Amino acid sequence: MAEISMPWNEAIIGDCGPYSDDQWTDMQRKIFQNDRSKDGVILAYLNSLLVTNPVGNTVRVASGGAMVDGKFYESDGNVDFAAVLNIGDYYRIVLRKSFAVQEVRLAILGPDPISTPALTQVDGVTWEIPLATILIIGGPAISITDEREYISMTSIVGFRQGGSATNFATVGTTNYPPALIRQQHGAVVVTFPGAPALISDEITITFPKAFSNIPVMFGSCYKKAAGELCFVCFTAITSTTFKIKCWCPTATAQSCSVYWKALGPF
Amino acid sequence: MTEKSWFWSGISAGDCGPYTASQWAEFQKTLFQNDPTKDGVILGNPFELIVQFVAGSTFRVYPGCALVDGIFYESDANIDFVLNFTPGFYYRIVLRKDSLAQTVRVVIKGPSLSIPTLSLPPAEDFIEISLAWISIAPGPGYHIEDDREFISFTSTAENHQGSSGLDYTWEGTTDYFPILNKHEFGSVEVTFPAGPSQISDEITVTFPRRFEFPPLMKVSCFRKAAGELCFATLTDIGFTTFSVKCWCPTATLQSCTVYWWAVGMPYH
Repeated sequence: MAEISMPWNEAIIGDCGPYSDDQWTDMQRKIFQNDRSKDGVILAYLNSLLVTNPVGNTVRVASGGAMVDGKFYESDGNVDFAAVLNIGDYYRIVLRKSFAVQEVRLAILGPDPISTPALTQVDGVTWEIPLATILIIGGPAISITDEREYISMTSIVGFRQGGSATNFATVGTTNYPPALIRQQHGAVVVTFPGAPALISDEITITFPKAFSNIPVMFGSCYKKAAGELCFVCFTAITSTTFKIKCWCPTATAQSCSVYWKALGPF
Repeated sequence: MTEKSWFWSGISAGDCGPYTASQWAEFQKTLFQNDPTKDGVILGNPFELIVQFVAGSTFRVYPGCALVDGIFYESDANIDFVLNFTPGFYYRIVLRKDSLAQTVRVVIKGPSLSIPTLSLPPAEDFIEISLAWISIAPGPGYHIEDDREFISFTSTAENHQGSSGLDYTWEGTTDYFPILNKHEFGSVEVTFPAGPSQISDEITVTFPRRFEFPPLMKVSCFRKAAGELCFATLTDIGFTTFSVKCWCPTATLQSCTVYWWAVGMPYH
């Protein structure tokens, strides 16, 4: 296959059908899934397959929908798993597409005393995407790390200009075509040193999820008291963290809010 | 047909099937293609059908996927074209939906003395979307313009507030309903005049692709040396360019980095 198109009505000519379920599934995957190794849960559908620990050793997956390697999946109720509360053990909740039984179902991997259980991703056999990792910690209790990645299909962010195909912060005038980007944003308080000061303390923020390279950043200040003004400057940016300082020309602010936004590769 | 809904079971009641491939294509076009005359290539698949110069007079369309008037298209191999390098010639690489042949294929149009136009029904039997156009310059050399537009399906619709639903730089408090916006962003260096100076040179940046009207913009500064701070302000915004200046309160900077972001109506 070099070029193919589908679907077409008439039999016999061109790229006509019949089409197999594999062809149809592949089409859906290519339209909707940017990274089939990770995505994708469908955002805001039912309860988005959120994994929680409602009580004791119960690990609960809420209702939701997903696309797993091109197959649509839906769960309209809670699905519970029981983890053994053995401190130091790792588990992983996955959505598993099984070709042999022609199903996509939730599954729990583990326990593994060393690290997070690995995903199985073998074309035509088994394909798993992660929902959450679980670590049994002191207490004993369950610590959950959300691993969901959502399907998306958007080119809302268009062309980019800079000096690197991968590091978005590199300056330059080269135009780069649209790429898959992650947007993250937040709000944080920045304090000024005890005495009246023009310049705030420097604070470090860790992104909710790491970028694959350095993002571009935007920030705006919100004053906390009447008569004050403040401005923000980025002082360090990496793929996982950034630092900011603020400037108050009247040296009267004790603190201010900074709203930040990051656009970067993932 | 005034109203119709898909998909239903059975073969007799209401809007039931069976449904044709054309109906499925219409469904995909309606959902995913904002402008079927331009989009769209699908982001995230290998190489995304980018067209590039290879060597000599050969240009290559790399693998990728697209929707063309609702029909899904995929190419998993390079497709090469050898052009006549006569200065003044223009070519266009398109994806052509041929409803009679029931195919979508990469096609090169030209040479001609201006950019070849796209075929659109009902005047012609094809529907084409553009991937790139190429002009041959004296030398001989070439210029290639990436013409790809990408499909999108997003719920991050943005309400806009101002006094114009077109020019986003007009101040106001009128609310405008979500429309399809285009975002662009980048990173650029701003220098300060020789000698201590609080105010930088003014630089002008050309957007990667022009907007229909001036976009709304946001800029932020990243200092380049410890102990310094700097702040950016926009000094001019047009639909093809913007200008920016920076301020360093301690007048100690030689340069700083400005990150910029623009949102506005895509150029039609």
